[in-house]
Amino acid sequence: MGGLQSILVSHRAALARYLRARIRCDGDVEDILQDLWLKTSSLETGPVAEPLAYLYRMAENLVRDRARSSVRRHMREAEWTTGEIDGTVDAAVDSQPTAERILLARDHLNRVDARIDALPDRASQIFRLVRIEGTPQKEVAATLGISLSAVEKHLQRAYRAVMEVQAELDAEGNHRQRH
Amino acid sequence: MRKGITGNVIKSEGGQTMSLERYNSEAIAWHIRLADPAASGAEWAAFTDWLEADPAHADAYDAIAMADTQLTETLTTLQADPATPQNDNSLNPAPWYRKRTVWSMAGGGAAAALAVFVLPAFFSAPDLTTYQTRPGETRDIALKGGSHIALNGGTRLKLDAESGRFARLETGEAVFTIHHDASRPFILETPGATLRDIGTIFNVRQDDDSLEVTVAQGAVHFNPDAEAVTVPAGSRLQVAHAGARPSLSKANPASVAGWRQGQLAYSDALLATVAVDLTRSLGTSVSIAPELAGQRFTGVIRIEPNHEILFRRLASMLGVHARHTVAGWHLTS
Repeated sequence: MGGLQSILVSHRAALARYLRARIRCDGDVEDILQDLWLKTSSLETGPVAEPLAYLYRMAENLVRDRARSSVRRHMREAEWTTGEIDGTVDAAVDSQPTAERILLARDHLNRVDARIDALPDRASQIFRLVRIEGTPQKEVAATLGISLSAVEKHLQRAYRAVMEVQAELDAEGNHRQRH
Repeated sequence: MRKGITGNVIKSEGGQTMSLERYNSEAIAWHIRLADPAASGAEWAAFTDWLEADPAHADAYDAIAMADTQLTETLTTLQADPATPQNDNSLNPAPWYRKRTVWSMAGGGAAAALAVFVLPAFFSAPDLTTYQTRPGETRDIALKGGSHIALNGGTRLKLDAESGRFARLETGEAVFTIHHDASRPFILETPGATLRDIGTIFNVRQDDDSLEVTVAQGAVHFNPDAEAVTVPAGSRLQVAHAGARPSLSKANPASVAGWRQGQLAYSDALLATVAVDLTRSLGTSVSIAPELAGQRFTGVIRIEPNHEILFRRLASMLGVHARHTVAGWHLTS
C-alpha cells in the first residue's frame, strides 16, 4: 500500500464527510471513495507536498468528472431526440472536437475574454498568472508587492466573470431546448 | 496565514437566507483558495464545515467549480483545433489565456512572441502511468502530438501520459521519437540522469546503474542543470556507473535502436552488453562465462526466431561455444 493510500485510509471519514456535503448523495459518496481508492492504487505520482490536500483534490476532480459526464449524457440524449446528429454522436461528443464544439468553445472563450479584458489590467494579469500559468498566489503577491488578500480580490473579480458567463450560457441553452 | 472566509449563515427574521450574492463571493473565495497549490488538508476540512453550514453553499460552489471546469474544457477544445492559431507573433501583448514561457510581469512584446497556447495548470500534479514489458516483448506507446516511445523487452517506464512530455526510464531500453516543441521540451529521467530533447530520435538503455544514450536525429541534452553535455546525432553517450564521468563516442545513426528491426549492431562493445541485449530481445536468459566478460565485439547480430540457428551463427562469429541449459543460453570460450 502506497503512502497516498495509507493517508486515504486514515482520513477516509473526513473525505466522506466532505463528499457528502459537496454532492449530498450518499450512494455516490461511496462510489467516489471507491474510485479514489482504485486511482491511488493504480497511479503513481511525482512527489506530493500535501498528500491530504492532494486526496481532497482528487476527490473533487472525480466529482467534476461525474458532473461533466452526466452533462454529456444529457447532450447526447438531446441530440438523439432532436435527431440532429447521426449514430456517430458518441464518438463526436467524446473525442476529437467537432466543428460545432469548436464554435461553441470559441463563443465561450470570446465571452469570457470580453469580460476579463474589461477588468483592470492587474486583475487579468493576476488571473493569467494564477489560472493559466499555475503560479502560486503567494509568489504572485510577492512579485507584485501586494498582499495575498489583494491577489484574492483580483481573482474574485475574474472568477465572477467566468461564473456569470457560464450562467448566461446555461440560460441560453435552456432557452434553446424549450423551442 | 490567510484571513478566514466568513462561514456564518446569517438568517433574517423570516428564516430566509442571505443574498445569493454573498454565497457566490464566499464560494468563489473558497474556489480560489483551494485551487492554490499551497492549500492544506486543514483548509479542505474548513471548507467542509462551510459546505455543511448551509445546503445553498454547495450549490454556489458547484456553480463556480463547474464554470471553471467548462473553461478548461473550452481551452482544451481550442488547443486541439488545428485552425486555432497556436502562436501569437504580433507585438500586441498576448491575451490572458495564452501561457507565456517567460516570466514577464510587464508583458511586453518579447514575452508575447514566445506566447504559446497551453492548458491551464489547475488541480494538477503529474500522474505517472507505468508501462512494463517482459523480456522478448516490445511495446509502442503513442504520445500526443505525433511523438512515440517504443519499449524493448524487460523495460519499465513511467510516463506523464497527460502531457506526454515527461517520462522516467527505470530499467531497460527504449527508443524515443519526439516531436520537438521548444516551449515544452521532452524530459526523460533515468535513475542517475536527466535528458532533454532537441528535436529527436534517441535510444536509451539503463542496465543496473549504467546508462547509454544514442542519438539518431536531432540532439539530446544530458543533465542540462549539471554537466550539460549535448549529445548530437550520430553519437553515443555512456555513463559506466552511477557518478562516473560521461563519455562520448561515434554511433551509426542508421543502427540506433536496431532492435526494432531485429538487428543488434555493435562497435567495440563488451560481450556482457551483448548478452544483456540478447536477453532483452529474445525473452530467454543469455549469460557469458567470466573469461568472456572483457571480450569485445564489432558487428551486427540478426535476431532470428529459431534460437538454435541464432546461437550457432553467433558462436562462430564470436569464436565461442554456445550451450542451451535449463536456465537459457550460456556462452563459453
